[in-house]
Amino acid sequence: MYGFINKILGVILCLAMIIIMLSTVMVTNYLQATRSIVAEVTNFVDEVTDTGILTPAQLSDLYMACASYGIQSDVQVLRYVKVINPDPTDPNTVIRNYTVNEDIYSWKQGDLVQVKVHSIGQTGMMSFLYHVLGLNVSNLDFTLAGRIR
Amino acid sequence: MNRGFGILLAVPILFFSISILILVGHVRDEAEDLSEYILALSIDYATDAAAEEMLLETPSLDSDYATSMNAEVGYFAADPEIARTTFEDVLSLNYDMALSTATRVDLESNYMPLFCVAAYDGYYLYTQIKDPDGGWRLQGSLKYPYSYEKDDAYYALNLGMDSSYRLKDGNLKKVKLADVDISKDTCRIRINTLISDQLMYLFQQATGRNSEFIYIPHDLGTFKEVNPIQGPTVMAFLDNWDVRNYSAISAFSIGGARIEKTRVVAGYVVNGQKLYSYSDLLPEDLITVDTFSSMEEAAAAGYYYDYNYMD
Repeated sequence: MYGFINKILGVILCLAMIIIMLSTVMVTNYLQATRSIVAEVTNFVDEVTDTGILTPAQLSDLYMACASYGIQSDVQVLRYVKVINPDPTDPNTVIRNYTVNEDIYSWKQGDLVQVKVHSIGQTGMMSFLYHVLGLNVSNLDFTLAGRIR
Repeated sequence: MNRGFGILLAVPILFFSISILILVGHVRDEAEDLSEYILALSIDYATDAAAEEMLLETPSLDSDYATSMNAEVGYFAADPEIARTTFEDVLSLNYDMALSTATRVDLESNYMPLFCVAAYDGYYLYTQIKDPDGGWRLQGSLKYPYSYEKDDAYYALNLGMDSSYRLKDGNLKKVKLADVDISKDTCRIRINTLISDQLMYLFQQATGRNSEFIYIPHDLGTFKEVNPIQGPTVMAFLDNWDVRNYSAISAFSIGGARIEKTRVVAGYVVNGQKLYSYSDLLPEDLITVDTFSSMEEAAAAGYYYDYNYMD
């Protein structure tokens, strides 16, 4: 009987080790993918701010690049236009603010480009880790913004 | 289960526990590394934007970058308030925060103990002071000169590194640096050392962390590749940044800019309304009443942003 218990315990431990090893590999791949997506968005922001040009083809490339790493994410590109007007309450000062403009294919110097990346839902790996190990790997959610030179 | 097996079982159980702890630690460390990386990118974008905006939007910017009516080599005008507000706006956008006064107050109160703008012939330091309405805000200083003492004379250096004002025996005189044996390297070393020493002193005073220091090299470093102060420069330090982070992190950035071309802003009247736009966006039949070197200057003169042409 004790030999039977030993065998069961041994099998359980082996299973646990396999799960841990698999989890480590999955988490490492996921974290590498998030780094790569951040790098893609950085390259995109640098390209748009340096050239002041954004074409539909470049935007499609960004979407495909972000999707290619296996994480389903929502990528949004916004354009903020600088607006400076006199202050009606004080003739010696001006009011500076930024307004959102829907035309993201025409840029001028001083505009701000903002790229928001937000992962949609949980990946299978994250769900598996949470339910088996109780480990909560945070969703990919970041924003980068730069000024058109 | 015999005793021997029980003791042997402890080894894989220990290994299993250690593996879990390593996995959890690895995930936490990687998340923190990613947060630091994104903060470094964000603060770099913000300081670069601040330096460019300051250079472009400061009123009375001479159209010839190399000279001015004062015939100073490399002269440029700089309004540090434009740099500060632009830095805060771009940093807010990098973390998807609202572009509002409340966000700026939040940034200045909680995360920005230091901000510095290096202008042509002096530098401005912003430090936190108590706001009577509560919290903290950044207060800018007067412009500190790039002072240098040599042979019983005091010099006010500048980033053009060609000429300087000399105070000797109560006489103020403009001299060429080459005539008083001050090399450009000496000038560069003095300016960078002065600013980094001041920043370090204020950093240690603001944070209480005397074991850390700020060092700005006088020339492009070989290994770290940190740019020295050679032109209009904005320096910012963020401390205890915990927006979208697991833990509080810090970051320091230096941003510079150089003007290659400027666009003329034209002011005109349409239906009695004074409007402005970039001159190259206007139709030929529109009569320009006035021209400006920046949007800020046009707005200060009472002209409003023209959404028809500017967008």
